[in-house]
Amino acid sequence: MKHFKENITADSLAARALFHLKYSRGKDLNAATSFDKMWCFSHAVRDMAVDGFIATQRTYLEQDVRRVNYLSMEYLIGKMCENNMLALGITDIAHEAIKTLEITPEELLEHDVEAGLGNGGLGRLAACYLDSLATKELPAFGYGIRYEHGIFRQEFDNGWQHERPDEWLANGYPWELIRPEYTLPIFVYGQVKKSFVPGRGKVDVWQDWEMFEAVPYDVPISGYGVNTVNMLRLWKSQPAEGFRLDVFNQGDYVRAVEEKNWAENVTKVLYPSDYTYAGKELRLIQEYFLASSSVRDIIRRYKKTHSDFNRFAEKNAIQLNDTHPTLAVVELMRVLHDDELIPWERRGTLPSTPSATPTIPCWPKPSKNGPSISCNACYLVTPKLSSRLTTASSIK
Amino acid sequence: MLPRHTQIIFEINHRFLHKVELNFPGDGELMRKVSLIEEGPHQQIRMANLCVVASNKVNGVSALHSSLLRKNTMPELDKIFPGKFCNVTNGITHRRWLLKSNPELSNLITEKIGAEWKKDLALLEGFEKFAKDKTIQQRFMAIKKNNKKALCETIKQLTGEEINPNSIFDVQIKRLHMYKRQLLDAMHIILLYQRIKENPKLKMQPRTFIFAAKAAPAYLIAKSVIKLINTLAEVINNDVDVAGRIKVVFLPDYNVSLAERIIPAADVSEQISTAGLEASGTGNMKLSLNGALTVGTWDGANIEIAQHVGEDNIFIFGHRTEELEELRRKGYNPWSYMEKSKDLQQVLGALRDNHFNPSQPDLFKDLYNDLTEHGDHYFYLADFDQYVECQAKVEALYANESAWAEKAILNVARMGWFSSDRSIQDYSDDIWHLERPPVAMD
Repeated sequence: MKHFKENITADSLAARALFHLKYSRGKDLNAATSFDKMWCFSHAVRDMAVDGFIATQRTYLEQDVRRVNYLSMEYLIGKMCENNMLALGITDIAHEAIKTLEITPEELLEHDVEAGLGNGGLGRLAACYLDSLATKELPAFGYGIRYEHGIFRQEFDNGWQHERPDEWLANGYPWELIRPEYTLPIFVYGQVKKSFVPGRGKVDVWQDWEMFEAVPYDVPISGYGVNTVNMLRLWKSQPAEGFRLDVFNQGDYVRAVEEKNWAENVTKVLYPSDYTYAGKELRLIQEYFLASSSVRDIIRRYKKTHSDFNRFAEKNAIQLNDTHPTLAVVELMRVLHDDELIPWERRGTLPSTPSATPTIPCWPKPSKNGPSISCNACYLVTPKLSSRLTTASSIK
Repeated sequence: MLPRHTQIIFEINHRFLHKVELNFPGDGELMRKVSLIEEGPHQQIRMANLCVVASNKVNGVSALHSSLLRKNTMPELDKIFPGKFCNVTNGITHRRWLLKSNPELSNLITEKIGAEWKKDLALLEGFEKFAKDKTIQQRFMAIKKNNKKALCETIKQLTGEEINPNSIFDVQIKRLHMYKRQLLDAMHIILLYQRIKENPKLKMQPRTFIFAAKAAPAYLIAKSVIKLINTLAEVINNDVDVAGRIKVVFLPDYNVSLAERIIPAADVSEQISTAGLEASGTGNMKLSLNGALTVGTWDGANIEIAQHVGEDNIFIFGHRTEELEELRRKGYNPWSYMEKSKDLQQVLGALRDNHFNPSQPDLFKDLYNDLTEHGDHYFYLADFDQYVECQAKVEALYANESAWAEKAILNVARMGWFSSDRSIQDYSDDIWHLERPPVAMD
């Protein structure tokens, strides 16, 4: 059963919420909007989850456990406040505490923010699986993208659908913890040249790339009735620090700002399903962005407790939700070979290190040329919108 | 864009094809099919092949699709990597989809079988013995009614429409897609409306058709389906002849929170995809777990739901995957179904000429054409008559409240296997091989 560091009562939870309202939000009850009340109350509940979160991460580190890393381009986790109350076993206490904030539980929970970082079943599946992994006390890390605009808001005008941008971050999202200290550089474009590298001889070197950054935001995922609190790490893109200094020095300010926008745009928007990804360079960059940041985060964590890669496969499983994050496999090979200097042969045939298991909902597509579809066909079945297996056609 | 990664993919391909050549010497056709590179004027990388080659296991997410994946989609890769393709059927977390969203039903279950089921959904089977208990049936239906009343409030807020909580709540909630066939549901509504117009005294069980779905912004025909359903709502809900026998609502901005309000209130769960095309579905599981009866095709996880709840407690209709394959092979002709069915002629006529708003006669021509001239790619016409027949059985059963409640309770009690806890255990046992380190608080 669930343990807490301290005895939780309705009074102590309310006091915590009021503390957050005052010192994190800078308001008192008179000035607080309903959203403020939800925000500070969520922080009070999140504090309970964070105790479990810290204990969980420490346990994983100390016991050097084998972990599953779940990579998904989409997550539909739904509103988190009530779900956390339920998982932490404090629903009754919480309802009592909310009254102190001069609002009904229904109204407060109505203001909770729904992170719509997915299109449908694929994203919801990922969310259900994270819930079960935590509840079954299994070491799991979810990796995804923190889209600034998730799935569009739908309105009807004279019966027709109109899309409006989703502004889920407009007032702040109470369930995330920003981790700028784990920011990673991401590289794209450029070319490969055979160059002489001291100690390695003449090897393929990727150069003239452009760089931007991935910043992680962590959302705690509370197991039901257990102390385990796992983590969903969502990456946001941003320009690299001191971006394009050379351009600045030449005084081309506008171009420099354009470059900045480019980096920010990578995680700007979730692509709708049934989209013809072919030729959509930004979508491919998104997939690569998730793959690269997650793989290198996994390696960073592994290296905290290991001095070589002998046990990397033993300590890590990677699960790919559909084929969208497939580039993670290639990125893993690149990092191990080019950065960690492990020759191809040492890993034997590449695929057996670590177990990457894609979840492929796939179907045979009726086609004159026989069944030649790929997994992305799941979302591209309509004849008009479909294009055959071209996700990576622009990869070169 | 990613020159080094491209180079590595070519390296993987080179080594992979070399191994294939060793194991299947001289089989050029095989090599061409499994290659990670699609040759042609523009070389393309086949991400799906790369994914399969690079993975230890590949999961098809439901029994049917895992089998189709092996047999139809990637037989060559299955031959090269025997045992790589596996199946872990999708699941749902009952914490959010029952405990949180349907507290009254959760409390009834706990009252009857204790609270242990919350940690182990398989224990729900203990609730099965109450399925024939008249008192429990009444309490179950009263809870359903309360949930329906709560949804009526939401519908009122979102659309302004007053809904009768005693009507059958017939629900289709999922992404808008032609293969998911919201349009088939709409065609059934058109038929019912036409029957009422022909015979205003027609007796029928009042029914509310509830839709929620987003269409991809560029998916024009899907957007036409939304317009059609909204048009039907406008016309039918305001037609005095209908007198409340049918109502149609399309709730805007479908998301997780809205799903949590609709699902506990549903009587009928529409899972009517073209057989072979829905990989698994998970909404089907959520609705059944909350005591809605499924009207479904033999597709995705519907099949496994039927196996668990029992085929007497689910309404299965329509052509199966292999029957559709046969139709495709012989050359499917939608017109032949039109000729045989008066109902279809009437319904499609209404679409073709837009009987719902004569000032815009061509409004739904794209839908009509898709179902006829363009070949009815998703077999709407082939399945329509069976669908209508099946819906008549649903209506008849609903008239018998006790019989309905019994089946609904059996659905709840027999859905334990569909917990995502079970899926995760399968993944952990067969694929990830994780150990459980319990966490102690200091």
